[in-house]
Amino acid sequence: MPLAQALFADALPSAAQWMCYPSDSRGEWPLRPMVVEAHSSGGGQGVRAEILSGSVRQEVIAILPRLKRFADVLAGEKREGRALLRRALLRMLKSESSDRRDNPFDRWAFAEIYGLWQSELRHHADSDRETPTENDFGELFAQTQGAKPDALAANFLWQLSPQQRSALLLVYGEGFSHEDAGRVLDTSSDTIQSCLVRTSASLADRLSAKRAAKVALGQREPVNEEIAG
Amino acid sequence: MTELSDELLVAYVDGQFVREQTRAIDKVLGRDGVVAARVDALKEAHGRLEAAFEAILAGEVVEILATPMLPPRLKPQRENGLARIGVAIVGIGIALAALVGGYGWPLVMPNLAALPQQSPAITGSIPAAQQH
Repeated sequence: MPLAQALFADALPSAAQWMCYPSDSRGEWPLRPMVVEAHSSGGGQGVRAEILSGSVRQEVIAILPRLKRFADVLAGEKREGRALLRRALLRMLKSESSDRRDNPFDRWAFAEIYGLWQSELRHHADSDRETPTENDFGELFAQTQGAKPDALAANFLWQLSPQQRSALLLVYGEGFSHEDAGRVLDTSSDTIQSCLVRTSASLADRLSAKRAAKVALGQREPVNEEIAG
Repeated sequence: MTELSDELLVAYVDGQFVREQTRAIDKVLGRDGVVAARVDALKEAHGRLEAAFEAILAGEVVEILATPMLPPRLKPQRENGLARIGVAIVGIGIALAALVGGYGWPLVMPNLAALPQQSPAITGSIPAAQQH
């Protein structure tokens, strides 16, 4: 099933909207957000480009890849992340007028996703939801042109709690201030700050240990060569 | 060795300090290799996290682009004024033709006075030959 259908099948029964950045011959990317419509009826598996109007939908579409990333990182895997985003988008489209107020759209949208995730977590505390595996989490990373994802960073992020991952994403991935990240995650900026310090220090420890191990290995190798010689 | 907490160094790496504070830490880094190594590790951690999140975003876009696309569906253009005027002219022409053809209602109202008066139907007693 195409991704757009999977995301919006509930929101728009016969058609789903999606966003795509058309490639540009001049190399400018993204050129212009274009809405495409994915038709689930008639057996056709495809999407149709179409510019849409409407404030909320356009704003959602403009930041959809970022919203997807946030949901995926929070959930720890694509399938759960996609389902979470779909439910959150439905809620957003319904509650936009009453809840948004003067918040920047991206902050409001991230907060909506996080709020829904947290609410569902509270209400289904005893559910048998499976913890995402490292492979599930690794699928989030792009594997283009033979470039391998950073296994150490991926493993590190996978081992963090969803809240810690989200805090890192908002500050280092989205460039949010600690205050804004705190507003999204419903916590104080001090909590965000201490989370960043702990996680950064922990990753720095790993990197230092890896570097030390490499150096130690490098020192041992000549000895081995001497023995072999 | 100078004691600088991770909290301070992370804030330094994240660029949260004002110029004077940054210069002070720069000086420490210049003379303390241990602190400098720690800052390097924190910078690398910071860079790897940023790159990891970029890679995830790239994955999302790749997935979107992999969705098959059909050509745009043609919609009737609402802004085409000439087409609208043409349709209006054709409509007016049909209305005029109907008028000329004798279907003039409601522009021509019937003249009720000109209608032939029908004598009331009398059923009854006097034969028609005896009425005059």
